[in-house]
Parts: sequence; C-alpha cells; structure tokens
Amino acid sequence: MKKLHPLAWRALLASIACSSTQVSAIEDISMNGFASVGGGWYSGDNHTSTYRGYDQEFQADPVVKFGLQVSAQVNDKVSVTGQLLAKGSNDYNVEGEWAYLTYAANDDWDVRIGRLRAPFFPYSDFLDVGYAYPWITPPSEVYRFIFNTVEGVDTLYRTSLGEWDTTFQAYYGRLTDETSLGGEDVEIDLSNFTGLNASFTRDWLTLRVSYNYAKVDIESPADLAGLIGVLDGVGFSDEASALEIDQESAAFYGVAALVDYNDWLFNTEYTEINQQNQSFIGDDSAWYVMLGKRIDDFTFHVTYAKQESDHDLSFLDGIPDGVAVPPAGITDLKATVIGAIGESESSSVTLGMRYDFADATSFKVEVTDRDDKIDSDPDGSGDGTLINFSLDTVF
Amino acid sequence: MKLIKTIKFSHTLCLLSVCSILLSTPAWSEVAVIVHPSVGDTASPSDISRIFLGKAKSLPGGTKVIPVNLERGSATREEFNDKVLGKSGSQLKSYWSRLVFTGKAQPPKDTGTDKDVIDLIKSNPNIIGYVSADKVTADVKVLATF
Repeated sequence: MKKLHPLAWRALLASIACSSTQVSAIEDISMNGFASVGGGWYSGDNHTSTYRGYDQEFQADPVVKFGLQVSAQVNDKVSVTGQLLAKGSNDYNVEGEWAYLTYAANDDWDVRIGRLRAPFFPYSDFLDVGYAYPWITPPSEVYRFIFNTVEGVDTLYRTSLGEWDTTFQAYYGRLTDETSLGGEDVEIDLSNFTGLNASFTRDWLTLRVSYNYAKVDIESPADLAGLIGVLDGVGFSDEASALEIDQESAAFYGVAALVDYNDWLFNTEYTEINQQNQSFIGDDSAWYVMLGKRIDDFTFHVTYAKQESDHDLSFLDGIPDGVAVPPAGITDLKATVIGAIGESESSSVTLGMRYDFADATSFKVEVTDRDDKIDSDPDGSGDGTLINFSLDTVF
Repeated sequence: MKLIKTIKFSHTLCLLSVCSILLSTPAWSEVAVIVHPSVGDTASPSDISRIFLGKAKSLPGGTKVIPVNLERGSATREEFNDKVLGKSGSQLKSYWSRLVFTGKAQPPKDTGTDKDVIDLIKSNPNIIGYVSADKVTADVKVLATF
C-alpha cells in the first residue's frame, strides 16, 4: 500500500456504497484544476476592429484562465462541487463559476441545485477547460452568448438505449448578472430560464439536441441608450421601447453531431435564436463544421463557422426616411438606428494544430481568417486575421 | 496455458497476442482484469471499457464496482488504455477533463503497483482493477485477459 496515500485509501472506501468501513462525513474530497495561458494578435483591415477579444497589439487576456474545483462526497447520496475561475477576459476577478449540491437519487439519476452551466452547446459544460477540446476556443460565431450560467435546479438522467448511451438534462432557473456587451458592462436578467437537452453516444458518434427558453432583460449599452433617448425625444416612443430588451421571450436551439473515428474528427453544430419580438438584438442562425486528424501526439484541424442575422427591422417602419435630428448630429434617424443594430453576417476559417507534448499539457496554435459584413459597411470593415496560441493543462 | 486461454477469448485479441510474440514481447506482458474471488459476474470487453470510462457503475450481473488504475507511467496501464479503452493517455486525459470539471465523474484513482492493486482487490469485493497477467495471484479472480 506504499503508493496509495492514506487519504486516498479512505476516500476510495468511502465512495463504495456497500462498504462496511465507518468513515466520517466529507472524507472523499477531490481537487482538480485547469489552466490556460497564451495570447494572440488580430490584424483587421480596420485598425480599430477587434475579434474574440484580440486587437492588433499582442494580448494574452482572452486566453488566460485558471480554475480550481473541489468536490466533496458528503454521504452516499449527496455531494457538493465548487469551481473558482479567474479569467483574463474578466480582469482576473475570481468568480464562483459552478457551485452546486448533487443529490444522486440512484446510479442513473442526479438532481443538482445551485449555480450551474447553461447547457446550450455540447462544449458548454467545459467551455473554460481548453485541454478538453482541440481548438483554443470553440468558434465564437456559434458560441456567441454573453453569459454561460444559470442559477437554479437541473436533473440529469443517464440510460442505455440499445447500443446508445444517452443523457437527458432538464433545468429551470434564473440568471441575474453583469456581463460585457460591446466592451461595456451591462446588467442582464433571464427569468423563467429553462431548457431540455439530450445526447446520444454510440462508439465514435455523439448526437445532441438542445432547446432553451428565457424571458430576457438586457440593459442597453450607452450608445444605444442615447439613440433610444433621441427616438423618444422626437416622438417615436413605440420604436424606442421596441429597441429595448425588456421581458423579451427568446428561444435558442441547437443540434450537433460529433464524430471521433479512427483518429479522424468531424464536428458540426447548427443553432438558432428566435425571439417573439425583435429588439436591438435580432434573430440569427449560426453553424460550423470542423474536420480534424490525430497523428500521434498532434491534432490538425480546419473549421468553417458562420453566423447570419435574421433581424426583422419592420418594427422601425414607422420612422420615415430622412428624419434629421440636428442636435444629436443625426441626418437620417432611421438609417442611424439600422446602422447601429442592423443585419450582420460573419464567417471565419480556422486552421489549427494541437500538440500534446507532455502529460496533461497541450500546445495549440491557430490562424483564423474572418470575413464580416454589416449593412452599413458591406465591404466588410470587420475583416481580418487572428493568430493565437495557447498552453493548456489540467491537474 | 495462458496463451491458449487468450486465443479462446477472442480472435482479434488472439491476433494481437500473436503479434506481440512475433515482436518478441513476452506473452506474460498481457493485461489481466481482476476482481475479488467472490464476484460471480462475467464481463465482455465492452462492459469493462464502460466501467473504466465511467459509463457504467456495475458489472452485468449487478455487482457494484469501482475501477482503479495502476500508477502513472506503468507500461501495463498504457497497454490497458490502448487495448481495452482504445485511447491514448492524452485522449483519456482529455476525455476525463470533460467529465471532471462538470462534476459528473472522477477518473479511476491511481493506486500504485500491481501488488498494491491486488492487495486492494483481495480485501474489497467492490473494486475492479487490472495488472500485468504474470503478477496475478490466487487472491484475486481474473475476469478477462487482453
């Protein structure tokens, strides 16, 4: 027993349901961590443009993450899990990313209560753990949410359907948080935040479907709030209030197929956001395809990702063309509003490599060519090239 | 004897072991999956793989088992990962990081040498492990060899 630490030994025994060994509560404690470091440059055609948090000078913040997780088995049925995360993109403030209690009704059925990850995508659960996937970050055109969390309750049910390992998850909760939107901190409040998802795995194939719904409030960023004030001031108060995101019913759904066959990787996801009423954020669809090949300790991959907004702007039809508001420096109010919120279409092609050069540590490098079109500038002021790299580890 | 048993076990694995003989790797470098002698269950390679990947928590006969690993860097462990789980060490690490950081499961604990694993299993009917086949003693029951 030399190699087995006495604590580990007791922990092992404690975790065996039918063990007769008497152990006091909270002896099975596991601690795990992950970290990513790296950086990158984005050289846009327009020197002020940014992409995935990068600009034209070298920047490490979008990559750097440090997470620590502690789980404790309290008794046969109950465990608690907490994960603290410090991210460069969040000024290295330490936040409790996960904090929940699990009640294991039986081997196949868990109920969790607390702060959980909103399970929009197949990679949502381990979004911050760079080591867990081939990219530096999943494609931002598809993984486009400004929040990742839900506070409430969920239930996970695992079962086998023939050859398929299946997991069903349902959740209900709320999220009130402050998050960054267009480089500005805004308050968000998602109530009746609920969803269902199912994943089916057989050998080398995983299929997943997910449906999510919420009543959404998002504080308008300053520029937009100013524009809403102008609209209100000149009598377009209906249009002004329509622009705000206030108790907006929004649904998000996604389907995904993930293949890992004979060292060939193929991933694809298709997602849509559908709202009952349009506001400053419109409906959209986004998808990607990734093809990869593992060769010994290397993984080479190529990804095409695309987001297309489907913003129905008819709610602005009440504003005539060419309304000037000289005090606000606006010559055509409708065009200014559309320019601020309008349609957009962006796509990217990423070539990347992951090298698992040491135990539990990988090095990744990627080049992403981005093509971004917006209504007010169809030539694409957002076009550019991102070069970034990371070192990812788990411990 | 051991070789004959393996050949009966599976044609694919038979090919593998013949290969390993041809490559002058001694036949006793096979991996034996072991449980407590009181365990009456049988298990297919896929059952064993599912248990070591955290997808199943009991043997087909219903016995609850907790899997344990040999120490890191052990050649037998790499052989087990490759032959039974079909994944490299880094693929497995990546696989587990997807489960660990969502609190869904913990990987099998690193338990030490072949002798440590045997000592643990002979005193506990709810642990499943694997050791180098030539290290197996009468204290444990071999569920399968690979």
